[in-house]
Amino acid sequence: MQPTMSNEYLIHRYLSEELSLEEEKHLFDALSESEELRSELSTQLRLQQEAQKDLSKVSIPPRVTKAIFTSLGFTAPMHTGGKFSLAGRQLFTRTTAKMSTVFSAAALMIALTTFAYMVVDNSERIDDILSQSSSERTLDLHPPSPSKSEESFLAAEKPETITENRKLEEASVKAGHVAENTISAIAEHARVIPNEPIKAYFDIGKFSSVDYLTQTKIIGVADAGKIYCSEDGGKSWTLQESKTSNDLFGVNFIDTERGVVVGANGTALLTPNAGRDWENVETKTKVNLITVRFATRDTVYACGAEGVILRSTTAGKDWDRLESGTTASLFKIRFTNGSNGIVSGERGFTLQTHDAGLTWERK
Amino acid sequence: MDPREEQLIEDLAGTGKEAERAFTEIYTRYAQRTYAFILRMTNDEAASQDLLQEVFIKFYNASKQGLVFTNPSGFILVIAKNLCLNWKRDLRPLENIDDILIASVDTPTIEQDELLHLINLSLELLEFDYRQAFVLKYYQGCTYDEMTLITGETIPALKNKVWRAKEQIKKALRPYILENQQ
Repeated sequence: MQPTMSNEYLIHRYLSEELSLEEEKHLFDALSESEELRSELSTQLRLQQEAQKDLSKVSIPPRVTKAIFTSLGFTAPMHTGGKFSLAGRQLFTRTTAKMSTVFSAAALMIALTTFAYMVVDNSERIDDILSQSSSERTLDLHPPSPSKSEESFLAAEKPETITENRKLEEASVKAGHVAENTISAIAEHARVIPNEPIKAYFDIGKFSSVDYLTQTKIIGVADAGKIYCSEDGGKSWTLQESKTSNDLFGVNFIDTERGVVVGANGTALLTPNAGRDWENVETKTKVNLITVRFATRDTVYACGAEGVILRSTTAGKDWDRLESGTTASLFKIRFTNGSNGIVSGERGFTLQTHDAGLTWERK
Repeated sequence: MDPREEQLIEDLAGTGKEAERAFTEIYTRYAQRTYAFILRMTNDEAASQDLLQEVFIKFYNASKQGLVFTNPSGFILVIAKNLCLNWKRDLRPLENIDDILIASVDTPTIEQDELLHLINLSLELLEFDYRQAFVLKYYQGCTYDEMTLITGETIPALKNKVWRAKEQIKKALRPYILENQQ
């Protein structure tokens, strides 16, 4: 029997512990009759097992941890975020424990159904074998009680009091880029029904670039000087007055108020108030600027065509051109702090700096 | 919330050594998981390191603003998810050989099993929402309730995306998996 879409989906749900007893019986009957379906079960098992291994193989380079702590004025600890961090171990243990019961049962199922297929046609005996393994699996697959962390996570879904919501809303406005993620807080801020999830509906093809100021407030830039703002996670957009007709390519905000937009012919625009007003500033270049990125609260970099790299130490008011040593178009620029950055562009060209852009070396 | 974690959040909002100790503890608990999530969402080691830094700085700043969060782990993943989405949006949608070369410069170099490596690469086939659902479910081991709070999507939508993502990856890797089963 060829695996059908419905049987493959049943296997998927079986591995997620979502099947009813009747559905399990149907699946096991199908498995006993189809080698292809047993192979499908093996394939899905293997994928999930491999993905599970990933967490234990990832470790954060110590210099990254050091950069994070240093930027906050803290001393980096000796061993953090490594392969054996507490949450990593707990998550790995929880996932392993949960999946091992399913995998053990599934492996047993494969073995038993293969054996059942090989037995001389005797329906009563096959039913006995399947019912035995079915009852064992029921015991093995008894879902574990939710952990304390899961319970508390689920509890977070419940709407807070009105007072709490207001506090969250006020805090989220002051918070910078980040707003509280509880649904009730979003609801209070966005005036939608509590517990209604918010999705981003905007058409990605419309914009050259977008940046999130909060979880629901987005600024998007496009051709012909168009800057759009959404207050509801992308459901609806309003056009802002940019005072330019040049194509716009890049946008980046350092907090919920201050941001920079760059575009064609050396265009750079600043806003101090989340896009309500935009100021056109002089960049001393007519080259297309493609990407803009804040490195610190006041230092911002832009890159673009003809190898141009600009830096401002006044949050975008004044710009200086840095010597990049290339005429290749540059598309991406990232800084881990005020000094260390990397820029990359066409033909695989990559440069890095360790002195805030004064010098760049080819990577 | 775990009372010890509640105390940590309270200390984090404070000043001085207490705040530093609290931040260190939270970082120790959640940084690896967060980094793994970002790495699988971007497949770009350099970008992931930058984004990890942004995540924890934003989290720290948020804690200073008096925000009340009942689950710091989920909150941190929400920040990470938003930054990953932002990062994806910033990528120039130019599908030419130059972009591929740029992407190859940042190819992860961490040691991996071959099949795991192939699965990680095949994540590139998935749209952001599907990739996110697959990574949260199978790499991060999240429950669907946790995924709802992180993504803002309904459980049925998430289940559908997890299944479709798995189908796509399975289809891409089937010959390799079958070959290794023999």
